[in-house]
Amino acid sequence: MGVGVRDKAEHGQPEFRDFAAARTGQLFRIAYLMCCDWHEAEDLVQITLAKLYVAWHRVARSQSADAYARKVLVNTYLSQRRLRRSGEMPVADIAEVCGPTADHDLRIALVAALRQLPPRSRAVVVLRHLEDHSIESVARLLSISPAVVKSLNTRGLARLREELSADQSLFLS
Amino acid sequence: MVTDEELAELLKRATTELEPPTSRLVSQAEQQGRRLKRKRLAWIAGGNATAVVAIAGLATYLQLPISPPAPAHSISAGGSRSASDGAPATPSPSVTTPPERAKPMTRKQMLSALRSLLPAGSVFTHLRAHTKPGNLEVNYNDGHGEVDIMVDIMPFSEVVTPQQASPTTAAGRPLPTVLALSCPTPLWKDEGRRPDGALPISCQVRKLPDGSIERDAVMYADELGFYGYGLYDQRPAGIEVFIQVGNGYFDPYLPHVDRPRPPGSMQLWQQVVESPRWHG
Repeated sequence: MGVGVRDKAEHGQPEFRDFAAARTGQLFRIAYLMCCDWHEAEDLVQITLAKLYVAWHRVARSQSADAYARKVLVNTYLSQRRLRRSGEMPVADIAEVCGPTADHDLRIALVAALRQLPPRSRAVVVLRHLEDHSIESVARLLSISPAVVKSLNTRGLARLREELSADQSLFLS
Repeated sequence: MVTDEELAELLKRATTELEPPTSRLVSQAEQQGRRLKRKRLAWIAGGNATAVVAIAGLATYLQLPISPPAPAHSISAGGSRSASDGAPATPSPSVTTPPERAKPMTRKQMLSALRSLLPAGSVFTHLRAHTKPGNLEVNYNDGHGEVDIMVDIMPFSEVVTPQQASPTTAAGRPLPTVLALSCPTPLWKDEGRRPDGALPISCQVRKLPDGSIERDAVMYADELGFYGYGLYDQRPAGIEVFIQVGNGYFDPYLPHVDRPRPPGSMQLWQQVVESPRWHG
């Protein structure tokens, strides 16, 4: 709801810029693993930051700005997934903007495995294991119960293990 | 078998080298955010794309001592039509009496007025001290959960149509212009999950017997499921009263949703927004 915005004139928000610049990298990593696509991840991060910009006068001095950004990111991702369920690209078409690196193959394999998970499971696994969020924290971010998070996490991990176990060489650092 | 710890390590390793174009993303997000903000302001202020006129006028009003307004320009009650959203024609109050006010209401006066209009036993807390005269923000609890209430009283000189509105129309006026009230077509969409048991989004513009134009809406939910009533009452005397009643409170800046519905009924808040106690 557009709370309290009537008296806010349009003006620059340097604090927003600093916050956004500092957090874009991590938000992008989450987005990339959820979307499994570089360009979609860019779009998702941009939309998230734009929504954050709108709410910035409320968020600015809050200790919860990071949580708010993640909540927006995950909600936007899930909304987009609901709107275009059949929009997944084949694994062979995964966009990789950065060149091959030591972890390039690992990233490709992980993204391919993550693609096998439904969107909510993917979000849970990424938040739990990339971001180290607790079950309760993920539940709050996704507005679902901790029991559902546990279930999605267990099923997601089982599927990922299945997908990744074929290529143990990837796990050698 | 991949352990949980190994999986976490894999996810981090796989993404550590990803370098998104941060500068471009932030810059484009700011541009998009400004567009979203204008759109949201327009929705809130009446459903078109030029609400910034009212905002600019309000800022002028708040910074200047209150002085007798310029003779009000009369807009017929025949109404206007939004240019941008195809909203149906909406009437505007005929502002024929220049508002004569000494001072805007203080927070204390507004709180007293609000208290008198709500059921006995209601609890008010967290009266925000940063608000300016004519603006009240306070937490309210009817016994079923704490919510944020905001009341704005804005004197205005003129109701303008979107076609008439521009930043220059607001300039130089002692009081801001406001936009004719309308409902967007289609109605708003939720940005996040609407709580189970929430009121549906709705919007209605109506003309009251005294010539006031009122817009009564149940707003869309934001990312955190926060929504509520939003009512505007534009009066022929040249005062716009705005009341917003949420389904939660701010803790301290982010909404904390603690109930599926805001307190009271639409009828109750209509009585509140129409009250003569908001005389300005």
